[in-house]
Amino acid sequence: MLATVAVVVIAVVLIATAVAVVVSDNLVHSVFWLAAMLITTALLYVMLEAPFLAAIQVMLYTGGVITMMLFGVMLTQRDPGSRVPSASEAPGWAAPVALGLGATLLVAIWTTPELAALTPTPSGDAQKIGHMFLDRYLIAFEALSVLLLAGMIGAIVLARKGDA
Amino acid sequence: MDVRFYLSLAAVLFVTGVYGILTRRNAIGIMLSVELMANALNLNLVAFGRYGAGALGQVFAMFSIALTVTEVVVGLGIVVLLYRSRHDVMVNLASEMKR
Amino acid sequence: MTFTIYELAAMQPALLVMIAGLLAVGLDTFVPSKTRIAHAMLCGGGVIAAMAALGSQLYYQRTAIHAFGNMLVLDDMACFLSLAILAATGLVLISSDADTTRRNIGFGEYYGLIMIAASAMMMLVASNDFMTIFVNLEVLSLALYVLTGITRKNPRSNEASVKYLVSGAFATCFFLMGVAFLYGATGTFALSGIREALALGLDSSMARVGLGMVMVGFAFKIGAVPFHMWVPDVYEGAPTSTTAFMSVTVKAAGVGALIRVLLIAAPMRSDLWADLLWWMAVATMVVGNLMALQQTSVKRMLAFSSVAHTGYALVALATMRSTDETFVPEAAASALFYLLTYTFMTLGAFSFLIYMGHELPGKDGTSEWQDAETLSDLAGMADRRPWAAAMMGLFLLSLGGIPPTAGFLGKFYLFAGAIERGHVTIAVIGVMASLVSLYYYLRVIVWMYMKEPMIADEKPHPSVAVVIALAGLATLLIGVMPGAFIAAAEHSIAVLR
Repeated sequence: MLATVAVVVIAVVLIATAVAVVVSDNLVHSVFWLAAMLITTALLYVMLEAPFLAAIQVMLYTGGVITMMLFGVMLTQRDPGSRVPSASEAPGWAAPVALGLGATLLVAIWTTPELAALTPTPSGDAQKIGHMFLDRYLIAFEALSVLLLAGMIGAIVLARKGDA
Repeated sequence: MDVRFYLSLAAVLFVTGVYGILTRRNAIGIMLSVELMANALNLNLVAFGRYGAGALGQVFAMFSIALTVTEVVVGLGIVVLLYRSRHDVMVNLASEMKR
Repeated sequence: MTFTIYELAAMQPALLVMIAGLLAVGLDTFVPSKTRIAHAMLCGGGVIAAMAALGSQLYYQRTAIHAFGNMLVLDDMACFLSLAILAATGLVLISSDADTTRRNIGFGEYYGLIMIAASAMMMLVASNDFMTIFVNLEVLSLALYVLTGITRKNPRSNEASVKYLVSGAFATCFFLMGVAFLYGATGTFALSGIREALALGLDSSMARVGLGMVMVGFAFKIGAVPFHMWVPDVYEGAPTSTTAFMSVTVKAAGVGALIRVLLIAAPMRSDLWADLLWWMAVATMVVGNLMALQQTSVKRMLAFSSVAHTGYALVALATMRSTDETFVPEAAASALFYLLTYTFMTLGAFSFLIYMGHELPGKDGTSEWQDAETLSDLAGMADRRPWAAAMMGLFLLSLGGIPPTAGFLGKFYLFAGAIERGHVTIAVIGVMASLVSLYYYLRVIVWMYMKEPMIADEKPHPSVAVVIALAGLATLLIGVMPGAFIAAAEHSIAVLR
């Protein structure tokens, strides 16, 4: 019962912060709303018994991405506190498209009766996840390291001094 | 708690992100909205992992987190370059005709 | 689960390409930055070695290698598309000699990123699991975002890069959401596992929406209407050698991966995707051609034309289910063959724009390179550069589908197959669309042959001439003796089970 209440509260906070990210007129505020949303999601991961992922989420996302985003905002605004109206030139079809997509997703979820029968099962701790990374999914894991390498080369190419 | 609750929550977050991408003009604002979408699909994966499919969902969610972080690194590099050469970071994703 | 060293053979070609690329990045430390011969030799060697590995797989090994728990499979389709991708990569490596020197791009990272992208594409067409599909799709996209923005002081290039990144990330989220839904419905990421679940009678709206979103993600990446908004701006803003590279290889890799997803994961449920693809193919052909008609910039026109050509390739996938409800997977062979013809003619046409580049006087006494872009840049070139102009004419006629070029056979094979399976409407729309396309392709030829030159200082680059000649040769060769290539494409699909 207590868990249910907690999850509902988290869900409400999650949606509120997500909406704030999208509609806030100030990008710095948006970044902080995003940080709040990411931490709230991490709480939800804890409720879903994925504590390892929750830790990753807080460290990588909230630690890394938010810091970089803040740098990004600071480096690309003359006055970082200035207003960035979110819906200034918004196309009229944005809201209908988003609502249509949302309706499609929700209908798909609620018209799939098999889902109702699913019950929580132990979903795996860090040890099990590590085994999957280095055993069954080794090749995808290696490909992921290439992704990081490509990202690193790309970032250096773009950021270094010099011509071109 | 039903898995459909989590999935619906993820769907709402996802759509919020889509709306943000369609309405924002600032490149960083768009990237923030992409983060929303990425977060929503991770939530989906974790919820499925919890309800039935085991640790696999979490593994995939970690892949997607690693990807998003890399995308942000490269993306911010490009956005800063755009700012240096043009002094604003507005992009219009839906421009059909030019010249 | 244990893996044997033998399984590495499945990724050996891609690995060779990647190692060559990484060595090229490292080479910058040892080799003076003004010479590029070492980089070019290294990367060229990697491409040739990978082609040799693929050749030996095709002629000596023959059976497909399923590796790493069936996450990668090196079968004939993977070999076919990898060879096309490698051919395009090799040609781009030669022609990018011009772009890197003219624009002063560091060769180490340029060649390195091209090779990483190429190796990811080769892995992508061999991927048999959504996990590997997703990671490789992202490696190649990431490399291309950077390659698009690699001329770092050019605002158009910066803007194109941001636009590509943002729409690419958006598409990835769609793709992954679809994958998550499919995972929820079937409990697996493996294509064969999804096939088993569907065969057991799974028919939830969750799986339908998941498959739909995966296809939307693919449509974004290959630039099919209505998800093509980024294509013209990105292709126009990117340095032309990058444009040439991505316009051909991404389509080959993306359509290849889509074919594998459809044929391995959901062959018996073509009712879920055939109609969606039908509308997408029609819209892509019509919109691509109508937009191309209105362009004055040749580069932008070629960008829209590449959208239209995506539509032609999709016709083959959309008509795999014949009108009498039988499923004909062999139809996908015509898409593979079309992608092969498209590779050489499009690469050749973009290379011609690089070839005709000229210097623009910039601010403070420096000069800036400008590839040929508008019709007036090409006006009258038939007199001054008769051979190159003739080759450009060949590429344009091939793109328009005139015999005896490769493009004609590609379209003929495609539309004849569609009619054979009863899909007359889409074939008629396709033929009409390519008739319309003749207008804007011929317009370029008219300007080249019948107008007075407006630019006097074009500085052709010899290495690009080699690329144009090779691409022209391939376009003619496939057009004159298509038998072997069509047989290879058909065999690739036939063994795909």
